[in-house]
Amino acid sequence: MNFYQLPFPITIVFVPLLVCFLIPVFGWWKRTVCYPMVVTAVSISFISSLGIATRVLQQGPVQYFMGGWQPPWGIEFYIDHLNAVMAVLVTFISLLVVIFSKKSVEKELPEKELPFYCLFLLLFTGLIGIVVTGDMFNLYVFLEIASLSTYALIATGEGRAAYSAFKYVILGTVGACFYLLGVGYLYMATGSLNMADLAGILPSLYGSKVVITAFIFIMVGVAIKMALFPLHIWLPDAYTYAPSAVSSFVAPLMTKVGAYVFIRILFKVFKPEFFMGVLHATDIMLWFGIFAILFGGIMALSQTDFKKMLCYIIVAEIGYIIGGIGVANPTAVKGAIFHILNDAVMATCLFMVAGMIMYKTKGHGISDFKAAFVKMPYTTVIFIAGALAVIGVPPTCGFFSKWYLLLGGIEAGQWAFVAALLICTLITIALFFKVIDQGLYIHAFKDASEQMETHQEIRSDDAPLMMLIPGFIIAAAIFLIGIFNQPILRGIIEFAVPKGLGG
Amino acid sequence: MITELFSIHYRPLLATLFPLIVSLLILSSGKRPNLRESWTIGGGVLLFATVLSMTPFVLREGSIECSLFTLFPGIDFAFKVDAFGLIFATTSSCLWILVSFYSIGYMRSLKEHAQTRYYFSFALAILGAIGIALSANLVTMFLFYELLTLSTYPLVAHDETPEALHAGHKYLAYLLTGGLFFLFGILMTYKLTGTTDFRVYGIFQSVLGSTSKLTLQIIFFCFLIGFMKAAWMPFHSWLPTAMAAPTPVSALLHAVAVVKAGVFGIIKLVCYLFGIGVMKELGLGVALGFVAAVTIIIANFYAIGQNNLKRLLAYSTINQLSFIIIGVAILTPMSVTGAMIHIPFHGFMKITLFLCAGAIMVVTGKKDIDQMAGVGREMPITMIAFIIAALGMCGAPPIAGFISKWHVCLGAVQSGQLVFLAVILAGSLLDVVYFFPVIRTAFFEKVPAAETLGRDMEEKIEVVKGNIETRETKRNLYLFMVVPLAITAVFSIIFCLFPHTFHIYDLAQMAVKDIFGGI
Amino acid sequence: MLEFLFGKLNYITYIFLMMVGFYAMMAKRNLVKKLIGLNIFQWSIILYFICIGAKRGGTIPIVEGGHGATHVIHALQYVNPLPHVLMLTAIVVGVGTTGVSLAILLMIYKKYKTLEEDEILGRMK
Repeated sequence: MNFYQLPFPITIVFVPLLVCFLIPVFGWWKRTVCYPMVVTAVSISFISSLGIATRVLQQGPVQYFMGGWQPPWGIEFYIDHLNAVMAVLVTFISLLVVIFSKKSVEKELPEKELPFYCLFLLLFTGLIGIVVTGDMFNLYVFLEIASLSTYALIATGEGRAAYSAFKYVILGTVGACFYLLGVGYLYMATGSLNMADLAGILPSLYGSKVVITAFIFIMVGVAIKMALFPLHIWLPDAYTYAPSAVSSFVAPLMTKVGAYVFIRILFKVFKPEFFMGVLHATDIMLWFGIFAILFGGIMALSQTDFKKMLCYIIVAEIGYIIGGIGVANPTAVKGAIFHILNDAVMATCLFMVAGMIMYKTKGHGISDFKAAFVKMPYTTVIFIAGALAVIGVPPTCGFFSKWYLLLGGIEAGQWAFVAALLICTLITIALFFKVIDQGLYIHAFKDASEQMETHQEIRSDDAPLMMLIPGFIIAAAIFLIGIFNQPILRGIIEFAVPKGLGG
Repeated sequence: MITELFSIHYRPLLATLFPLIVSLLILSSGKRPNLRESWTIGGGVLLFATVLSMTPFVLREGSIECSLFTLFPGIDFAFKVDAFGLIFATTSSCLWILVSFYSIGYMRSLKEHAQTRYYFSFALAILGAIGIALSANLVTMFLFYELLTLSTYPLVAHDETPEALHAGHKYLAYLLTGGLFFLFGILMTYKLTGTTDFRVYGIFQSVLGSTSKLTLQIIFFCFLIGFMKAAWMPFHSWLPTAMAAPTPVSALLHAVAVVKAGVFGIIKLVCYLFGIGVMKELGLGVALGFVAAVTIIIANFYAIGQNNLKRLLAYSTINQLSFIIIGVAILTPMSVTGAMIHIPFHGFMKITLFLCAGAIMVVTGKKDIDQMAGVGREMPITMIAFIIAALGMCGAPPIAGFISKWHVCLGAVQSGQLVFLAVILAGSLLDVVYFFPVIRTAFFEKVPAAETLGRDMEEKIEVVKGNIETRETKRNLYLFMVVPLAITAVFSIIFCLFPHTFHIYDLAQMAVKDIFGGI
Repeated sequence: MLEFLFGKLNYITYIFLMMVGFYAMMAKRNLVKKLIGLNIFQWSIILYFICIGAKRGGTIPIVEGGHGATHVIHALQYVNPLPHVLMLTAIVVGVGTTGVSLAILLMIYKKYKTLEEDEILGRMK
């Protein structure tokens, strides 16, 4: 088989699914074999995603019809530039988190590795399925696979995890049901469930109330999944109390995949003319984005728990993305899509750092960072890379996506958005320097009993190598994506920006 | 490829690589202080040599351009070594060597903690300064500008006392907010003109007709706030508060890197971004001059009331920086030359003053002026250097400050902006007023009876620090501090008598010729 | 008005059910009641899908003779099978959700010894 015949779209989704079912079987026979299987499965997905991405860059969108049934009767996997970069992103981050999670799971969830990895692979399948599918209902199925696994995984955490997971169940299922409802209305109006097909049929139906209702239901459902303010309530508790490996995996990916779905439905299924011309919804989106940014920033300031602070930052980052879409000119949308990529990378980096701190200090508050620069120097370096990226200091990737978002806002004259972004930058500076201070300045935060210790007595006791290496790779990625942003933008992301946005 | 790195074309990249590599080497040799310090000194010497080696080339050819990769459409991560940039680069690199020697003496005498972090941040700060000096466009400069702010934060808060942390936070808050204004200005510039390069006639002429004057003036002020590092009022208060830092850090802030980066940025803003013609059109020269004039007057009055020596020097710096800004705001060739050469001249003079203040603190433990009675007799070399530098600040010959003040005043007279002339002269007069008490107290006042002045310096250090050290080490450490400040004082005189040292004057003239070429 | 009411009866029913479920989720204190509300919510949507496909006079969408059928198939006479298929999936999803939720509720009960929301919040501090 030559390269172009390899069934990458299948392997990317079904290999993890298959391995997920095999894990309990093989694990019952011999425990230690399950971790290598997980790594292999995710690696195969990663290689498949690279293969798909290469194919998309060379030849254009890749389509795979399930069971040979042509669309619109059959389900198809449709991967174009936007998908391809998301697929690579999801699989890459998953691979890093899988490597990262081994030590973390051993410590936080002893004896439960087998079910953990089983659910992990199921979640991974769900996420990657959402990314590659080209069918609306299929997306719902994968969405629910991912969500159910997430609920279960979060509930395994400590403290309030079970209750937070239940809250997430309620809200998340409501969201998915809204999405399903919207798909139902669309089906009623058009008779099709295939995204490309819908894109063809819908323009003539834009004025219809059914279609508008469908759109609103779908968008609200996706907004719940994406944690757009004010539907973000489930996020802080759920991600804070989840085990470190789970939050490192879910926090960067789930909301970003939700944002991807938002963009796909907004731009590819319903063309830009719909929400700009018919609904005039850009302003609403913009203001939701601005409120999300400001709310996330302000709530983050008052937190003493590091992970909760990160969760509110994620809420703010989603605000950047949605606000960027709300500005609705090519620069801002380019920035928003690039920001999906960047935010996933930054969030992974920071949650991994939280995991490393938790591994060593059993806690994830800001005070657990005490003397981190001396005790855990490599972790601190990774943390500073992530912090600089969120603040938006060049040459990290965060600076470049902020540039495009700001430039887009200035070009469109949306000064409120520009101001919100700049204010949030200031807030994140205050946030992260609060933490960096704890880590960097040993003497300043010692209480009386510790004053006697001298500098030499604090020895370096860093997180294990298996946790550090993915951290370094992500930190390197933060800088590389930033420095090489031009090839990424011009080669991939610009193709994902729809034509027809105001210039 | 490696040999290409050493070619003249890539020399600016090499210049930035030296401090970067040095910083990493410092991190790795934290356990061996002597090795760590030798990386600093060695890197400093190599950096200075690299910068000097670029000077003849630039004097001949005009500039070295080195573009590395694309950051945004129309904006590359690029270096452009021109005459003016070399002035700043020469200053920073030369003073890095001297401050590093001084730091060795200072830090080891006081047995300071976290020395590795100190030298590491210092190297990164120099990287930031050199990068700013050699950058070709606003975005590259912004990158190094933020690096400078971030790397100097651990230096300002070095002592980790609540006071030092407060100083550090205030420092960060002011400068990073300024950075945001800077970014906003860059974005507006990019949107209006499609580029952010530094060019000799500026990049705004093409949009002068199509954009409202108010917009351009607002952009100018955004940039000005961005260059808050130049400590112009009312955004100056981070600088006196930052005096909570150790003395070599204050020297770095005031003489070597941080505030110089601020005025460097302002001069670039006026001459290479907006351009002299556009500045005159928009009336921004007068506005800028007004801001600077107010700063000079008020800073001088603050200085007169100061008892803490370092705070006095801080206000003196604010005053001198606004002098540079006035020089640029007058918009004549003479005055801009004066402004440009004042960057190195003031750097050398100010660093002398700070190194003296630090030496006094180490040896006698005194920080306030009214306690420094008789210090002149105890530490003669130090105080003579202090006098030389103080005279230079006032603009008295034969110290370098005279030359730059002469040029700016001449420029003011030539263009008929006599108000600014009056402000400068008044400022110089007030300089004398506040430096004089220091000199008088140090030399001419009797020591209070409780102090016994007859002791050796070595004994004094032992008493202050309370531990026993050999005389040899004491003497060596003291030399590490005294020799650099003596060198800078001597250089201050040399610069006056031979302004062509390190080609400073030639570079300034060349730069000014380019900027004013078409006007 | 009456015509509208009876004409759209299926839609009104499903909306009514959905709101009942929604109310239960929001207003009830007991977590199991919330879960029941969630179930009603999901089931109402399934009802909605089914009634989209319904047709007056349509028969169940099973072809006589199976795969080997040779007679002409008049699609109009059959009820739309697609929503049924979709809803089979949705029912499975609903069952899965209920299962996971019950497991989580079990964990909560073990930890806090109660399933009333206000008591749980009190015991959490």
